[in-house]
Amino acid sequence: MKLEPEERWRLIDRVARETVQYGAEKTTIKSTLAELTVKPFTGIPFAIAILYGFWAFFNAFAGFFTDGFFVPLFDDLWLPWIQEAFPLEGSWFYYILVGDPAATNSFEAFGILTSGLFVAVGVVLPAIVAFYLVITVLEDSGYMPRLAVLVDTVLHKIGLHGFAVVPMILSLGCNVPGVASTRTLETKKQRFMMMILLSIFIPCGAQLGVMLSLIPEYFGYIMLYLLAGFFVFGWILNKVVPGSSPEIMTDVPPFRIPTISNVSRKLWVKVKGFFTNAIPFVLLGVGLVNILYLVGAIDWLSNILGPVFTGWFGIPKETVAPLIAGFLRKDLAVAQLSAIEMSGFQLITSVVIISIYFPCIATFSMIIKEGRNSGGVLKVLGGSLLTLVTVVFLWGGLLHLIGMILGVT
Amino acid sequence: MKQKTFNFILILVGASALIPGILELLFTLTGKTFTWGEIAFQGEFMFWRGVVLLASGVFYLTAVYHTSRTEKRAQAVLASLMIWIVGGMEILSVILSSIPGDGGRWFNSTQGFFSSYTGPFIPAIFLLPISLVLVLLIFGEERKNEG
Repeated sequence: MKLEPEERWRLIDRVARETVQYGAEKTTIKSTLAELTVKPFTGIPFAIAILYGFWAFFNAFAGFFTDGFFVPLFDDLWLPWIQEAFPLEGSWFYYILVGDPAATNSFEAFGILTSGLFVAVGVVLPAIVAFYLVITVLEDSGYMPRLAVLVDTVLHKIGLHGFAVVPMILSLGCNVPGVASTRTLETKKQRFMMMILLSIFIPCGAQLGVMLSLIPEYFGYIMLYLLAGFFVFGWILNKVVPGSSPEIMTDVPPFRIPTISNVSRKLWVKVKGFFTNAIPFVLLGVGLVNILYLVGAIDWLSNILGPVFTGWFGIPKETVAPLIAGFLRKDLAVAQLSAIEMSGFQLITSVVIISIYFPCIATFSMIIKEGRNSGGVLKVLGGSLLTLVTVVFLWGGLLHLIGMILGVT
Repeated sequence: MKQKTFNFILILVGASALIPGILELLFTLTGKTFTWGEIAFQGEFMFWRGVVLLASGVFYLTAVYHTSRTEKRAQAVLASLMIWIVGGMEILSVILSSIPGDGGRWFNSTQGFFSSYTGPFIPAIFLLPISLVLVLLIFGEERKNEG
């Protein structure tokens, strides 16, 4: 139904008459509490408490399922059974699907049906469910706009505004909806900047889950370095990219208690998306890397890129294989990295490089798609690649330099 | 509730949150752990727990100086919410880690299950009851005033 402007205004007036109640606003504890969460003195510590709760829940929930049930299920039952029952041991087919026949845990086996399934279902799925559950509760409670108001001043320093926190938070679940949600930003400049910064510096929930599960002791350092990169390169991009960054006004809704039906429905939609979009990529990633190993491509690439990896980034040349897998799934790449022998600092550097060197294929496709609304596909693609190459060499090289200065490389 | 009584409770709860908050930060910065009876200053994310407890302690104590009755009470509720987040997540973590078994067993033994709940616990757990009573008092008073 198409309405003329006059008719549209009359309809709005009618809806407002029937739904809006007028009267003096009464200050209650609940309304004052809502105000306190947007004032910096009280709001920032409360936001820290919320983020603490977020990570503590993530840890407890994902740890319960992964360490408590999936690790014994895959390592004690599934792996020995499939190693024994699968035919053609020693063939390339066995190597691709089952991996190492002598492996004693699912991470080391590295076959599609062993490591592939374990990473996708045993590690990433609980992390994704925990992440989306908390995000949905925060969205439905009305806390997200408050967080946007709180971080508005900081994000203005890099040419964005408070609502840019929404794509940031969504990207912590998956970069694909994060990039898609940049269309809510006002200008092409902001959309372009946000897409680049998200896809480089914000690790997805699956990657976070694997990092927390395999290298929890380095998690804080990695996140801190990535966050610093987000703001440093955000500031640079704001200076370099032409365009405007306007102010916005936003409505902060009252706090509400989320309903179980809404939360479960939203959670199901998001988790369903993970099953259809992410799991095939994880399995494909394991298969591709195994094939590349079999044909000798990984060794060839390791030898060619070795000097750059060891000289510029200070990491072993064996990290080439995870980097290739990282193009399909970053979580898989981090899982692979943890199996390579290297020092703690090299592991931190490798995970940072995995995060910033290139977005995963799903995010990359979304950047191309969204690029049409952010200055043209070619412009966005060219700008993205230029930024990516600059970031990976500068930010990755800087980390190596820091390590050398600290004497930990 | 009289303003003086309410201020006294705020100071009491505020100090009970502030002191362990400072201690958690100090133990993190010095890289040490400490157990005092059933209270443990250790575990993952201790620094952030310390920050949250310290901030909630400051909120309770500064609420004493608010002249606005509603703002004073709202700030105390906010501080209590922060304690509940830390304490609640710890309880969840204890519950979830008490269920799975080890050494080839899917579920924990009855003895192992109950021993998970014997402590020691982080300071926020001990602040849960008193902060809960405070919040119940605040909302009870608001309902009484409305009625």
